Amino acid sequence: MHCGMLIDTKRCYGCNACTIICKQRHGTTPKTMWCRVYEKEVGTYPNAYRTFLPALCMHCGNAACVRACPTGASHYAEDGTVQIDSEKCIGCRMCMGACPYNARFFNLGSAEDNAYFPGQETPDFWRLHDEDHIVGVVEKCKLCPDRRAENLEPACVQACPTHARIFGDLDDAESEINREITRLDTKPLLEEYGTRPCVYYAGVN
Amino acid sequence: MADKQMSRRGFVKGGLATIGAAALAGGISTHTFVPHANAGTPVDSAGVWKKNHCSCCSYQNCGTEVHVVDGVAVEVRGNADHPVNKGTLCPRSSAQLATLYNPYRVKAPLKRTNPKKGFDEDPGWVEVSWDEALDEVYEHLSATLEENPNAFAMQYGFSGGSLERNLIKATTMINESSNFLFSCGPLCEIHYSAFRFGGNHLDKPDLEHCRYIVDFGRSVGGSVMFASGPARVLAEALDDGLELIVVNPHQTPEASKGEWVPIRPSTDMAMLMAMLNVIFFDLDDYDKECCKFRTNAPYLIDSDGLYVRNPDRKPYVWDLADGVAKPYDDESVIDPALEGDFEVDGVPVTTCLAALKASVRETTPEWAEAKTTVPASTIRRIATDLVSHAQIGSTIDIDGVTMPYRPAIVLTGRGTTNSSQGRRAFWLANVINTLLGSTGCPGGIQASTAKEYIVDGDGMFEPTGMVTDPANVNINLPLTDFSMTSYFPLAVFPSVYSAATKAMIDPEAYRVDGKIKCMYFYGTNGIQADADPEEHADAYRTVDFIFMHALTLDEQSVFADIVLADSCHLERIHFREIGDMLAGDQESFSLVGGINFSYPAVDPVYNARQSEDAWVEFYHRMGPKKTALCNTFFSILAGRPKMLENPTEEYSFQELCDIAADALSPTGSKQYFIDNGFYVDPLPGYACYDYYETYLENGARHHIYDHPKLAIGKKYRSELERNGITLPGWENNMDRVYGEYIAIPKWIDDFINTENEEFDLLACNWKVSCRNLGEAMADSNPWPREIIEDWSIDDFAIQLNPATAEAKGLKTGDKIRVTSQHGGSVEGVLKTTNLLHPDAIGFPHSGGGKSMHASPLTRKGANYNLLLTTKPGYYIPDSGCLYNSARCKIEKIA
Repeated sequence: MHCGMLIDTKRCYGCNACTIICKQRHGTTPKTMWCRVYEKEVGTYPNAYRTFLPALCMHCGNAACVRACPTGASHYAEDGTVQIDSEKCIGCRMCMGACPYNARFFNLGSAEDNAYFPGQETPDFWRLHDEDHIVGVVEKCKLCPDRRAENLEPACVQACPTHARIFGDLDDAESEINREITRLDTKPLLEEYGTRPCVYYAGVN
Repeated sequence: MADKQMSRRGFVKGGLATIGAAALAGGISTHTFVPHANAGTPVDSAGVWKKNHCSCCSYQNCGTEVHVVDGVAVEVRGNADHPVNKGTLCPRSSAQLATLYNPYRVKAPLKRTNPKKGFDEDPGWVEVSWDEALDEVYEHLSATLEENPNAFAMQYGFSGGSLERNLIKATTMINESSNFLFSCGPLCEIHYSAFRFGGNHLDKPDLEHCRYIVDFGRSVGGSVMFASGPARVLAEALDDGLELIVVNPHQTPEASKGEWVPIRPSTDMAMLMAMLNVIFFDLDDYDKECCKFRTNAPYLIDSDGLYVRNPDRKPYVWDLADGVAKPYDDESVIDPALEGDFEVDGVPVTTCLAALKASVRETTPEWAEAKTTVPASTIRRIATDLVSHAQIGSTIDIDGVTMPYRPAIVLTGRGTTNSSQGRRAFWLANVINTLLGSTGCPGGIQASTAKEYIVDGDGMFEPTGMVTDPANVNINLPLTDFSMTSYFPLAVFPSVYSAATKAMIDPEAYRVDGKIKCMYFYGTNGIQADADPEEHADAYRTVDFIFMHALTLDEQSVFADIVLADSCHLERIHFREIGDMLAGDQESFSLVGGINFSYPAVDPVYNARQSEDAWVEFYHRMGPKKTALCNTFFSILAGRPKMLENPTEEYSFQELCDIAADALSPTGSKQYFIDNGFYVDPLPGYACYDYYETYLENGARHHIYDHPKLAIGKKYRSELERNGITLPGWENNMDRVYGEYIAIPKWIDDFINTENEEFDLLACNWKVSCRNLGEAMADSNPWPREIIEDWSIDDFAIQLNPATAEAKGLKTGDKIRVTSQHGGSVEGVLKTTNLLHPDAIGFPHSGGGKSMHASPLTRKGANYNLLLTTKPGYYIPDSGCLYNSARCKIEKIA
């Protein structure tokens, strides 16, 4: 099993359902966007338009973050994803500088300092996520390993109202993701960096 | 489903809730919660998954599953088994836990201690017990109702739709008051034409078959994301080759998937008139067979524009085969004339189509270019492509039924319909669709499989939800309620909100003999939704006692005496028919009439009680009559009028819901809904298309000529003159009022589309996915707000085209003040963008809240509505709706 994702940007309207379901699923703190959508204005009036680029950790096969990590906290998992062992992370943030996709986020303060409701008591929902987001540690998209353990796709894939995302096994030649990677004109982002991402894009010029 | 007819036609949209039902919530799933692999474990208990459905928008069609661990909802996801959303969720639904657990919710019943009411006055809220709060409310409510039911008023709005409780919608009916004031009404011009052509609130394009859409001012489903099908089907249709033309001053996300045709705000009707000119005079290509037998195009009219009728009051057509006039439904009619001048009983007559055609003879694309800035060649190309894509004459077989296939349409939405001449523009768009033969046919516009209509004596499709018969236009003075519908016979809601507000302040001017003494707010924020907050403040100050159910201390709460802490979606029982979607395919159309029925996922997070529970208690205290009315309305609204054995029994709200769940369940037990959350009984494919029922079964015709509006206008005028009155405030401008009641739209140069050197910009405003209408406390929700602020082009800034900004010496980041021709002004930060027409000034969202006790997030941004007006002479006179645009000027202030 080698986890991969295909995002067809032609089907993305920038609604950010993926961004928000990720925030809900993982209870991340403000400004931490494991999943996000880059919206860009292109061209001049009247020939102007917008592009939408959903982004997440690219779970690279040759990950700059893993190479930069001095402690081995960032590592390749058996399923082909890149994960962070928070107990080994010393918060040096070398990985953040190395990642060309800006996919990593650093917890500067406690959950309370980082709260969505400053000055208010932390509501139950966020309190239950306190220990998920350790101060002084780098974090990022994990591709929802807990959901995958139940044979579910990552939360962003399921939520997407236009089915712009396909998740699957890149090792399986017959998988839907491999069929679509072949059928559509797809490529990873910034492949010139040699990072060999596991996230493929269609509709990106 | 035992009673299909009733479930589809009689089930009024709504969901229901009760207190103390959490224990019944269930549906233990086989799924187990696995803690995060390599981080701290947030929970150590597996918890349970509970079926539910989403209440975060007005549609409430999507199924959800809620993961509850130790009583806390830790996750909401789409129900993958639900055929509407197929496991997906929109951004608003994905964010709903940040509403449920929002600390700015009202946490207990509150009582005002400061009697002074105003935006700068702190109400001095103190928490009180439920008994104290409900007793005080009951004392005022019962005393008022005893004296005069019309001294009680309820104000209702879109958030009532998002937190739908159908019993609450019946509040004024049960209490026998006519004051059901809709704060969402001022911007609901959009529904008139949809009602008249389809018997429902919105037009739905059949995206599965459609191949060409010209979209004026609306989202097909992707720009304002709906997970209930529209966005998914749109994405698939575009993959399959759908051509999408977006005519809009603002480049929408959908426009990026098709062709953007920027247009000067508030001029859409000119382009539609030019398209009609091209269809008639350049192409002479439209569905003439459809016009002859499925519209009133061949009906004969006299010089006053009224139908010429036979002695049985049936409109005549001119049969070219015999050269004589015959009643429209005479079986001997072979070839009804679409054009020509004839004589019937010595009276010169012509046809409705001839009158329509004459109305656009001069409105060429060149004429429209001067008004719209859209090049004439572009208008000509779009009109030509529209007609060619309509494949006039082609048919399609749907489940064994042959129907016309018309895969080309014009769509119209709020951005167009609420602007200058918007109602007429929407009408013209539907006239074009009808001329093409696409109204109700595969590939075209569908109304709803749950539409409410009749075929009237003229053979025409008419909605039952609004006045279409002049006999029902009557003005009897003095008025005894504040609905104001006497002045606005073509209003699409049971009240005209802006006028009602004015009448509360000055009943004499509006000829009302009465006063509102007790008022109830539910799911409404008219202060933010309408144009003049201070006018609303003045109106509310005339009321002796105001109470409300509230999720948050919004602007309305500033004027309340008692605030009752309301429950949030996942804390209640709620049920609702699976209803209309913004757009769809055959599968999604077939699901209309299904039912979402959810029991609470969690206990109330705070000391909140579900609103219906309080009302049922009030009705029981009022006695058997009100108890019976409550039970009866609940049963009707649940779609099972005879489900209660004893209508006067004091059923608790919990009991009523349980009885409804049993009655609506395919197994006869509410357990079905606890286990599944929904039930659908898909319609056969052919029944998904209006053509099958409205034409093949019932022979209804559609209008290309609005004869009822003309006739209603004549009756309205006679009623006003009989009473010796005018529309209040329009004394010197009644020609403008009567001029609105015409059968064929015509262009009017008004205060918005007439050049004005000082106020040289046209304001426009649009929805974004994360916010939509701001329903369900969306403006207090930090997740969507963070995205809007940090990640979206359409953030809180005020937008201007870069060329316009440069000409005015302005740049991105400048602090600006925008002042409207009506005097209102807002301040904000400027952003330049090529995604906007140079004559427009753009406001994504609307913000600028005024309540000191609401979440600080609600105060961000500018309140767009302050630029608008409800002043007499400046609103839309036949509906009482306000123009959602104004001419503005801009100045740099820092």
